Amino acid sequence: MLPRTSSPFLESQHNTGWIMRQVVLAAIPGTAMTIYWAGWGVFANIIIASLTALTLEAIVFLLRRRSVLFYLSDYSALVTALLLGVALPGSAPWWIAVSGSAFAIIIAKHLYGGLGYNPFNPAMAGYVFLLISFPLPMTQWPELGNVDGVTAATPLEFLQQNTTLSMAELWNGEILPFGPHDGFAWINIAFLLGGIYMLARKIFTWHAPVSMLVTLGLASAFFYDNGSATSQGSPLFHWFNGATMLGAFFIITEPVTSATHPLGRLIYGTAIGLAVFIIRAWGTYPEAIAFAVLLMNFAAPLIDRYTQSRVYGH
Amino acid sequence: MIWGSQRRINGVPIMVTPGIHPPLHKDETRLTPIRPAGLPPRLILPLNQYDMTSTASQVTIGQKVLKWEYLATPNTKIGLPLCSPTSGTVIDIVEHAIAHPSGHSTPCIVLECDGEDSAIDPTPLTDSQQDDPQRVIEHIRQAGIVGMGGAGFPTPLKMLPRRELDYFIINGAECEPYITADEALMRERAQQIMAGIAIVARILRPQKIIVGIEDNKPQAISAMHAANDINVEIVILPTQYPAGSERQIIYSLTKREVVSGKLPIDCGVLCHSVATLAAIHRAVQLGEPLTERIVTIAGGTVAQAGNYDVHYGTPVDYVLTVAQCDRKRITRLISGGAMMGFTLHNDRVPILKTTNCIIAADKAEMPAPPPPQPCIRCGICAEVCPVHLSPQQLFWYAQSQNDEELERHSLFDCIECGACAYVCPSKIPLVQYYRAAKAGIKRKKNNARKAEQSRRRFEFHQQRIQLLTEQRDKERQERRRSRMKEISSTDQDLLTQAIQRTQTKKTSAERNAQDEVCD
Ligand code: SF4
Ligand code: SF4
Repeated sequence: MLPRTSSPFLESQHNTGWIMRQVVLAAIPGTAMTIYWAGWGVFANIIIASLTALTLEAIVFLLRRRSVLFYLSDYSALVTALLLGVALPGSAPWWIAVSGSAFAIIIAKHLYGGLGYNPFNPAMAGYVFLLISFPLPMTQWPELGNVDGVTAATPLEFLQQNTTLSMAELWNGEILPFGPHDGFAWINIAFLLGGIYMLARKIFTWHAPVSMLVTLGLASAFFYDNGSATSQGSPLFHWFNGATMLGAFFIITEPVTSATHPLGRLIYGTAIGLAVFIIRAWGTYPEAIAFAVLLMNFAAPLIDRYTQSRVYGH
Repeated sequence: MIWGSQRRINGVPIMVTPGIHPPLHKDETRLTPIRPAGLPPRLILPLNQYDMTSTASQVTIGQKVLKWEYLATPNTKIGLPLCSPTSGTVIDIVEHAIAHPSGHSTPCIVLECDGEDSAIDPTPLTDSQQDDPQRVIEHIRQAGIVGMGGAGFPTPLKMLPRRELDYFIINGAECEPYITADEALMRERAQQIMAGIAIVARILRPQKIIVGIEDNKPQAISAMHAANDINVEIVILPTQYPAGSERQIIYSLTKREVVSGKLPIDCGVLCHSVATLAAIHRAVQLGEPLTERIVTIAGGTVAQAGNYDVHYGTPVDYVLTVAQCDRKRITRLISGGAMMGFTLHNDRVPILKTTNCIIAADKAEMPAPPPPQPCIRCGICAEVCPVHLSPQQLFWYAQSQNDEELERHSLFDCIECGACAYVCPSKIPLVQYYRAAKAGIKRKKNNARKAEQSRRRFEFHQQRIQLLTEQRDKERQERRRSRMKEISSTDQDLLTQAIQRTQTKKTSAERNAQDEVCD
């Protein structure tokens, strides 16, 4: 008696674990750059968040009586922890990483039924949870490149608070030197490279990241007044600041919580790009990616519903 | 939104539906010459291959038959007869497992071959007879020809001219991994295919005839060009699975979409596979019924992989032995291709007219499927679906058995090609879910129909009973009235009246009793 199985009998080489490993791989340059500029605190955050995530995930699978090793091998918990850890301020105390990671894995992921069922991006849900619960340690970034723990306003915060200096002065006065000293630019370039690598490996489609970046660029270009004191920043400034590239290539491309159809992803990316600009320009929180993503996670099922392709013969 | 995407083949643009590029495993078999598999000791000939072609045996056990003699006649007007593939003796008529996805058994004629292969005289049609559509179609029916590439739909049914034919499509794409039977046919017997095309074109008069062949078969393409004395258009398709699926190849070659739920002929297109056309040629011009076909025997356990001419009814184990298969090493035995075929759990089933390939795979080639991981909604499946469905949504609704949403998401347009399951990184057996969901919905609909029918029957029954009772009451009243009249009009003595009364009472009581029994 030979086994009876269902067609097809061939399968592609790719599996979910491989995809997630590619994401981790692609995040390495950006992560390294962040650690270089923001200090070992970030590294510690990533390690703490990862250990917490993996332990909790293992416990959940034990409780749900699933094969722990098999499910851990999808690497999704690691990706969540990495993305959360890299977004936390290096100066944040250890329990910040622990509680954020725990929230992401238990509340945002497993309470909704685990991988594939979570409506919100777990890393971003964890991040926003921390931002709302512990605003103080979450908004004190040490000045980039200055590892001794002096906190300073990030360029995005500076932009929001600045009313006296023109953009050109900011630029020239090396308060915002878009040059080799600007850590944010380097971090963003590194994440952009990782993103391009994943695009080349077809880990995701170009639709969401490209539409997000284009929208962000267009919106900032529209409101750019050649750099007066009340300027909202140029497209370049927005592209290479904050978590823009991390968001565009590592957060909004997370498949579970984004729209699935190419057209849907264009809409999803555009909306996030717009939301990011609005929050950055006129909101109270300078870092907008997490809020914009969670907002659009809400809308993703709806977008999916209205962007079905026309089926052959209909 | 534009449907499909444009490709260029040698500079010629062509529209293709989405698809995948799996490893093809064709090199082992594609260039070997077609070899005869020879005659097995016994043939197993199913009487009911498909619902539409169920037949009743005409022969008895012990009867000697010649090649091409009728063994069974169809039960329905549209059915096809069964012809003997060789000469020999009918030794049994029994239930036997056949190569069918359901794994069911069906009554089969078991024929012991005498090895002489002596045939009755072939009955080809003369050239002038080939002008008469009815006659040609009837001849094709008598030869028992079914669509040899797919589900075995009776060919004569497909050819009944229902409307003007704009396109006649000849499918030589053969996009499924492992299968090279059509390729071998085109390479070695292109004239037969062209002759078949000419026969069909003569009676159906299509506006345009197009042969579609995938670009990975250069030898077949040049052989078809060399045999092309009737000037049909030969279009080269990009190699992609499932380029050769009927609706998909129609789209590529005619830019027409077959409307959901309709047949290609409804939009003016007829599509036949190259193998069917060669069979039509042999039936009409040589007078040979369809009793053998080319089968690709492939897989890691087969030493002599290649294409074989196999008699209808030959047991799979016989062909495997001919192809020097190490049967002990087989871990998966598949009838059909690796994407849409089905597993056989027993190698004694017979080769059918639709069996284009047998894959005897070993462990390294087709390991046991890994356990599925959760769907991460990556959407890769939707990118490759040739019908533009959303496989992940279908999967979601199939799991929750949400029939309404399944139908809203066009579950029944799924051609079960398996492209989605192939690319799924979580290794979810998507097609299995769709098949189960389709069967479930059909069953529910059937049950609903049956319930509706019995409800109507019940209501009808109730109505009839009511009518009957009303009628009976009326009759009873009339009887009583006439009795009263009798009593009053006649002036008889009391005794006779009394006797009468008791009698009527008795009879009416009897009648009532009878009525009750009837109820
Ligand atoms: S390919 Fe698999 S995991 Fe990805 S969306 Fe489709 S079903 Fe889900
Ligand atoms: S099996 Fe069905 S859903 Fe999957 S790709 Fe083929 S047609 Fe689309």
